[in-house]
This record gives sequence, structure tokens and C-alpha cells, in this order.
Amino acid sequence: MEVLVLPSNQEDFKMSNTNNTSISLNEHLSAVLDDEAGAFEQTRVLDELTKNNSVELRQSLSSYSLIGESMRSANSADTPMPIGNSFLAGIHEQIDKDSGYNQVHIEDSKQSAANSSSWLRPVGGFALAASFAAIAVIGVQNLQESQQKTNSAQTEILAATQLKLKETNAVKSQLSLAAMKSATVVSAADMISTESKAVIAQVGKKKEVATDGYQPADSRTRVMLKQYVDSHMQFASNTTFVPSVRVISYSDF
Amino acid sequence: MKIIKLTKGLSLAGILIIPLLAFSPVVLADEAAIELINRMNRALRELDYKGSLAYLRGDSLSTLQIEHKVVNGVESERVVRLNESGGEVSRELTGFSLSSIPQIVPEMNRVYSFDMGRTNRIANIPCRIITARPKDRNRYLQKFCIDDVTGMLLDYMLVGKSHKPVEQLMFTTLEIGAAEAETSEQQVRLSDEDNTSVSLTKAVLSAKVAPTSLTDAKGTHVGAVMVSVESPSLPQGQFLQAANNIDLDDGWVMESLPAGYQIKTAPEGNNNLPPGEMGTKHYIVSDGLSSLSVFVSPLKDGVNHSAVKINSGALNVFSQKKDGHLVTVVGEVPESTLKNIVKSLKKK
Repeated sequence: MEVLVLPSNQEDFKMSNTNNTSISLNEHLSAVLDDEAGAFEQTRVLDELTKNNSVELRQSLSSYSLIGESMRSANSADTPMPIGNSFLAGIHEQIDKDSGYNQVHIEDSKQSAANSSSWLRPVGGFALAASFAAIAVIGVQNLQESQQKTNSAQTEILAATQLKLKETNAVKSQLSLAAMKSATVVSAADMISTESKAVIAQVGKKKEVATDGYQPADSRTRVMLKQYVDSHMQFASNTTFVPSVRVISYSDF
Repeated sequence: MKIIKLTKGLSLAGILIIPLLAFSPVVLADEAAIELINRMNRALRELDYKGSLAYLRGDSLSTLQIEHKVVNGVESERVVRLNESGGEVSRELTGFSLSSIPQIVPEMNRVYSFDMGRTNRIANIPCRIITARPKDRNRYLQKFCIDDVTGMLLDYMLVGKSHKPVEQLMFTTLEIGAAEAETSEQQVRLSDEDNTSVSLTKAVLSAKVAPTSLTDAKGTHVGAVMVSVESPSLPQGQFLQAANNIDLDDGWVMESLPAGYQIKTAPEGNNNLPPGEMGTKHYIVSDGLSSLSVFVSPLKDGVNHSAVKINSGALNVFSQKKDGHLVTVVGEVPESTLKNIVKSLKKK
């Protein structure tokens, strides 16, 4: 007789007087698995299992199922279920071991495909191809008709434009030579309003300003600043000859 | 009992002396650094020297010749730039200047930390590195390399934020010695814009002749900057009018100054200012090592008084309109210090 090692989270098997709710839920769970629970109890257990905080209940489900299957398989000649923490892993392992089912299933599929009627397929394919070809022909015909319509419209527009141009030239030719010479030549710059010109001038000025908001010194300001620098060097410098060196260098500005 | 008393006494003395021993080398080093800087200031004014130096301002490098003489008690200096557009400054150092007043005092320890560094070699002369490290961001770090024997400054660097040097002067050759025989003429070769050398003969070190501009044989100005050498000889120490740190002239008030700085009024009759600027007030703000000037002038019609900012190596210039006047600040201090000074200046 094999000894089954129960998962560690089997504390619910112990009698606990502090948590009556958990005891009743596990008992209901056990009853559901043994097909001894009523509809209301089954619904309640399933609701609890779907909740996010039902980790312990799900582990209990896994354990009870394993125990039950183990007990059932212990009485049969089959090999016992592999022991593992995941009940599903064991099932997957069992399916993998039963490789013959897979091959038979695939071969059966191929066989069934091969056994289908042979004359229906080419006829169906021909019909399909013919329908596609008909659709294509009809589409091309429609396209040609639309292009013809477009061309005719363009021709009409072109004709109308040419007619208007002729009329304009005719009007122009009626103007006297003197009137045409007196007409002022208008350029795009003249079309700009006075306000826009002010904005453009302001933008141009802004480009000359340093990005930190200080203006570049003009020549008169520079002359004034040089004289202030000379005064500073004479009276306020702390080191001899260094001021003279700075004065020479400052003359570069 | 005597042994116990002696032991206790020694223990007490040790408790008192050991911190002093640990502290005193630092104090002595600070004092030695300050003393060497003061020696440097005296040497720069009292010694005769000439040499060439390299001047690095930002990313611009220049080479200059410097000559300094003391003749009959009158100090003269001449600085000639040897590259780019040339230029020369020749002047007699009479009249008031902050550099003539001993500036480094122990009280400056609250805004600077003076460190005595290692020995270096500049222009083949050994020198000691002294660092004046500021304790705030209102001034630049200053590094000096000073000859221990003569006190002569051989290398000078100002370091700004991000430890980047904003200005450096380094002697490449230097002769320190007795004054040479006085010459009335010296030939100087300067290049005009066409790179042709132009010989100029002029009296540079004579106390009488004071050329105000350099011109070539054709009379074309070659871009020199000259400071008048005929400044009035006024006794030192009598010009700084003691000004209250807060109340200035003409109703102006300096509400606050960065730590360590003091404000004084510059001498009247400033010959460097043009006649149109005679209504300008000049205040000097200094902490002994760093200094700046504040100019307050009335607004003029037809003149653009927009805010202007200029940087030239360690020198920053900032000018803006304030309370109906034009306030201009000039100094070898960070730009933020200049802006704070302008902000603190108010008209009552």
C-alpha cells in the first residue's frame, strides 16, 4: 500500500473552533466532490471558488480531488496518479504518456479528409474561379465607363476655360493703352496690412535682442561703458598692473 | 599625593594644549598666506621689474610686455600688448587707488579661507601658491603664485563657478632689479591693420609729455588705449569719503550688501569721465580682494538706456535704468553679485 503525502495546507482537516465559516465551506466542498451536495450548496461553493480571495479553497479543491482520485486508483490495476502540487500537471503528464491517442486522432483526420468525394472539389473550385472572373470583368467595365465620364467632364471644363480666356483677352484688348500704363503694379508686400508690417518689424527687432532680455550695446553706450571701466580700473582695482592689462583687453569691445 | 597632583595637572594641561596644537598650524598657515599676499601688494608697487606675460581671458590668449618703475618716488607702469590689434597703456600711478592700501586683514577670514599651497615654478622662479577661497558665491576664487624672496607676483588666476578659470596672468620672463637709466625716447613697433610695421617714437616714461593716442606716420589711429598720465597728484588716504553703508548721496540707499563688502564714495574730480558724465556718482564696493564700482548717472535724452550686460573674462559690466537714473556696475565679481547690488540700490 502506497503512502500518500498530503499537501501542507491540510489544516482544514483539523478541527478548529475559531473559524466556523471555513470548516463549513470545506465540508461543502468535500460533499460537492463526492456528489452528495444539494444544488444550493453546489452554487455556493462555486461562487466562493470564483472569488479572488479563495486561494485556500482552491488548494483544498486540488487536494481533495487528488486524494479522491488516489483512493479510487489505488483499487485499480492502473499505475497511481503522479504526485505533485499541481493537479493539472498530473493530468497533462498522463495525456502526454498516452501518445497513441494523438497519432490516431491526426491520422483519422487525414484519413477523413482523404475519403471525401473527389469530383465535388474541382467543380466547386471552377465555379468559384468563374465567379471571381465575372466580378472582375464587371468591375473593369464600370471603371472604363467612369473614366469616360470624367474625361468628358474635363473636356467640358477645359472648353469653358478656354472660352472665358478668350473673352478676357477680348476685354483686355478693349482697354486703351494709356489706361493700362497708368495701372499700378501691386506686389505681395504691398498687400500686407499696416498692422502686419508692424508685427514683422517687431519680430525683426526681437531677433537682435539677446535671449536673456538684454540689448546689445550701441557704439555710444560702449564708449560710455569703457570710460566707466577706466575709472573702475584706476580707483577700485586691488592689484597693480592687472588693471592695465584688463583695460587693454576690454578695448576689444 | 604629589605624583597624583602632578598627573592631574599634566592631564589638564594636555586637554587644553592638544586642541591648540591641532588648531595652531591652520591659524599659522592662514596668517602666513595673508602676510605673503600683503608682501606681494607692496612688492608690486615698490619694485622695478619688467617682463612678458601671457594673459588668458575666457578663451582668448594675449601676450603682453610689462614694465614698472619707481623714479623719484613716482610710480610708472607701461603695458604693451604684443598680439592682435596691439595697444598700450602707460601711466603714472599717482592719485588714489585701492591697490595702494593694504587690503588683506585677518577679519577677511569670515569671507575668505586663505590656504598656503605647494611650491611651483613660474618663469624659472620658484614661487608659493596661495589660494583665497571664498565662502560664498559673491566673489571669485583667487590663486596667487608669489616669490617667497621678493614677494613678486608670478601667476594670478581667478576661478569662477564650475571651477573654470575666467582669467589668468602668468609671467613667461621676468627681470627684477634696480631702475635702469632713464630714457627720454623709446622706439616701439606696432602693426596697423595692414600688418605693416609702423615705427613710433615717443616719450613714454617722461613725466612731462603725455601722449593721449597712438598714431602712425600717416596719422592713422592704431587703436591704442591711453590713460592720462597727468592725473593730479593728491596725497593718499584723503579721498575716501566715509560713506554710511546704507545712506549714499542724493537720496540713494543701499539696502544690503553681500557679506564682507563695504561701500565708499570715490574721489571727486574723476578725470576719466567725460564732461557729459560729470554728474555721475561713483561708489566703490570692496571686500579687500574683490571690488566693483557703482556709477549712478542721470538719464540723457536721445540715448538708448536699455539694459546691457557685457562680460570680458573676470570683468562683468551691467547697466540698467532705475528710478529715473542709469545705474552701471563694473567689477571683477560674478554677474549675480552685480545684479544683487543693483537690486539693493534704491532711491528714497
